[in-house]
Amino acid sequence: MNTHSVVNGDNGKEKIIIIKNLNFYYDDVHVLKNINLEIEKNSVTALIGPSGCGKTTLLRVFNKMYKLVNNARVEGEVVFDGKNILDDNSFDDFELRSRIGMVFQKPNPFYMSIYENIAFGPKLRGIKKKRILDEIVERSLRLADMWDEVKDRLHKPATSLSGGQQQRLCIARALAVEPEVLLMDEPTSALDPLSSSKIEELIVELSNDYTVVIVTHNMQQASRISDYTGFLLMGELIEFDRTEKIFTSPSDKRTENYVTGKFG
Amino acid sequence: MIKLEKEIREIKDEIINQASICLEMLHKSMKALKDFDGELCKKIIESDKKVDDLEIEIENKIIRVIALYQPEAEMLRMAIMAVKINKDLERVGDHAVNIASNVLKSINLGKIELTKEIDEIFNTLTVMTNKTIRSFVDYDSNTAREVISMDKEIDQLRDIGVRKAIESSSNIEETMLKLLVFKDLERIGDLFSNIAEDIVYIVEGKIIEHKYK
Repeated sequence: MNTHSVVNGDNGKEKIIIIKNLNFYYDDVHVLKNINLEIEKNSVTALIGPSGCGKTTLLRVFNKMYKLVNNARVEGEVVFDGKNILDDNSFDDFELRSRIGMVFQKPNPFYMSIYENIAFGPKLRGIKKKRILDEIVERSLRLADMWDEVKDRLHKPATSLSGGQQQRLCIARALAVEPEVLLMDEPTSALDPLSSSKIEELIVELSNDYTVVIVTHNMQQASRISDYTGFLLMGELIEFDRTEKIFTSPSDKRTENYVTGKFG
Repeated sequence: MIKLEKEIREIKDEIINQASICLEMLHKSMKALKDFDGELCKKIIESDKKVDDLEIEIENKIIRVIALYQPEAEMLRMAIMAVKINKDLERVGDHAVNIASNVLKSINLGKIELTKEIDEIFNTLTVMTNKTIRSFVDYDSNTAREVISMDKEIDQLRDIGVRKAIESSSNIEETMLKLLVFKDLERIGDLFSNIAEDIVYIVEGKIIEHKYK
């Protein structure tokens, strides 16, 4: 194990990702401005802010999804497991995205069976034995709290599931490769209230064993499920603190105005 | 919502803890009054800080629950009433301290002869407190309604006791002490009656304040 992987912050809790002086540009547009942030291990961190504030861009920096965009440029450090992930020699993208998984706004199951959706990642990592794949599929679906719902139709198309089930399947798929961090980009915005509630409960449960970073437009969702909240405005991280503090007595007036609905 | 339920349960437990502390303070203040025990009076006065600190702790937890989880229906009623119950319990503690302080101010009197109404009020208050806690734990509005009706007994006993204290008055300081004790005990009865009304609201969603007066 890398000796730099454990970094303890002021509260003695382990920090799994540390961002230092992060700047991000699309061509000449300065999208993220000097972000400094520490993500606590096995916690839920919510990123909130009005549209265009840079929260999704920040989330995409965590597993280098921004590389899919040609005109993106990034400066600074994002330290994970003792290495700066922005350094191309630090992690292979495939390895990084296995360890820092992602769930998107709209459920995006592959056009395969439920079983194959979950087994896809482990197979890519070279696991071939059916018995092991079966175990992974069951474990992942159980973690996503949907094993009982789908155990009798594992070989049916994933697209036959409801929207909420599809999103939980996507979470199960991300969990199948045993990530340490799970990034979620507005994972409930396309779902009905009941499905959203199930996903929220799942996120809280998952944070016992995983680190979750979630981007959400829904401030009530951030307050309900997160331990820490970061408020971004026009590319700046205005405030980052315990969620309780952000929603009861934020330090910055702009945060107060946002959480009380005065803008955004 | 798992987190909301867990935190509401914690608030409930702390309120029960606060009620137990206040009941103990009330018992001690009665003992201090009967024995004219100055040292015990000082201990009761000191213990008020514990009640005040717990009140603030509970209040912060309620603010947290409302801000973070936006509770609805029974959870919302519980959160809002918890604010009132918390405040009323702190005031029960204040009245126990008042009794102790007044005994301490009159400590030079030595023991005084107490009318039986003080004992009867105290016994009724003990039953009221226990029933209030039980109705809060069990979400039992019937028991809460019994508490509300017991407040009348206390008012009647207070009226008899005050009249006797005035009629038998031979020492103004002693009479004043008795009258002040009756006032504090009667106020504690009112506070438990208020708490019981809040419990009825939590359980049934009905506001019954002022209807029993």
